[in-house]
Amino acid sequence: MNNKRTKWKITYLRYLFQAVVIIALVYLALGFGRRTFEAYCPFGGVEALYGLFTTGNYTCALSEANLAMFIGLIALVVLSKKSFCSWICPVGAIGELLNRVGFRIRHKKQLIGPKADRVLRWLRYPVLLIVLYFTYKIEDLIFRGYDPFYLIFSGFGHGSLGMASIVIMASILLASLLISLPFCRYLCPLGAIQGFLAWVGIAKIYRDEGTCIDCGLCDRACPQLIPVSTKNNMRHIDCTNCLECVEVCPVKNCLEVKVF
Amino acid sequence: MFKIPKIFIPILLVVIIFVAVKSSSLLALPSAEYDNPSLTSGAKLSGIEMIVKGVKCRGTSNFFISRLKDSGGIASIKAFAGENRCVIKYDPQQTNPERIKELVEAPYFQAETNQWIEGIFAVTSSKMLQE
Repeated sequence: MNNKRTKWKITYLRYLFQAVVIIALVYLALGFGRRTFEAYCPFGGVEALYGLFTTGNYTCALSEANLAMFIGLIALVVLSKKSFCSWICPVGAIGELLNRVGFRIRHKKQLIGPKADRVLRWLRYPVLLIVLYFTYKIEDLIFRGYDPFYLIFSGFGHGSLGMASIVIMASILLASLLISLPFCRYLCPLGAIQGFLAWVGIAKIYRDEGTCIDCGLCDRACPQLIPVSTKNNMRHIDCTNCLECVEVCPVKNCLEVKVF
Repeated sequence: MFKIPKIFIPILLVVIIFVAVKSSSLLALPSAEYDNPSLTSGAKLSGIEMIVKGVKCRGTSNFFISRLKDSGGIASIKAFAGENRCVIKYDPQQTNPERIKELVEAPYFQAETNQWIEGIFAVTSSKMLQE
């Protein structure tokens, strides 16, 4: 059996990471610090690419920090899948928190079946294409009005769409109570970009079929709703290496992080 | 295929984010720039680097440049919105850092509202650049 010390080390360490990131972003959003909170969004690096190639400048409020974060993110995805999403991204952290609350409200039921879930996950790709098309065409950060990250930390600031942004934000928050991580799994354009590389993910979780007792705890623990107990390794593009499944597994060394 | 400790993942995250943040200056490009060819060739120029609150995007960078470029003695301006940083080269015979700061922070007249607007830009720190 797993001992409790490991749970303390990793699960709580992840919560600590998420809390530190949120505190740092609030600090920057309040005007302290040299850069704005927006400078640390890796999606800004993707939005900046077209402007860099065509005019040699960063679009709107984007800067070298966004591009550096995006390059770092790509390196991270190749090495450790979508770990940015579960360890760093504040939208993921807030979504996870709401999901924990909602899990009790909806009596531990998943409101979207596996088939619909698989289809909805494809929505991220048209969202990505639409956002990039209009960002590149208009040379402005059009996603600001829809982006929970920007709307939360800017306090519906410059670039938000007034009532429309409030409705969008409220819908995402409400949906996060009813469905596990709806924005991350169905709409996030940064998630779509990572998806292209996440299957490479050198460090991933492996399941030992021989020792697995098919208790299903890992399936229920996964915030991305990946059926962990049916897979021998988490090559799944949405695995974020949050290690929740590893933590809840009652069999020692059944679920482990391995490279290659 | 070999097992690695779980702590590898947070360590990797910290290292990559740290490297990305620290090396971001290598990718720095001005969000807007201006050159005055009549001054950049020949004249002995001085330089000042200022951190300007309010220079936060390409639009405000362009506005910052428009406030200074015709004031006389300005040879070049580079605005880096990501760091609120502006690098200004000037002819010390025609202007000086105090005059530049004054111009940056001066109120401006907004024709659409028929009002003077204050506090668009504020110089929070500055340093002279070595030639």
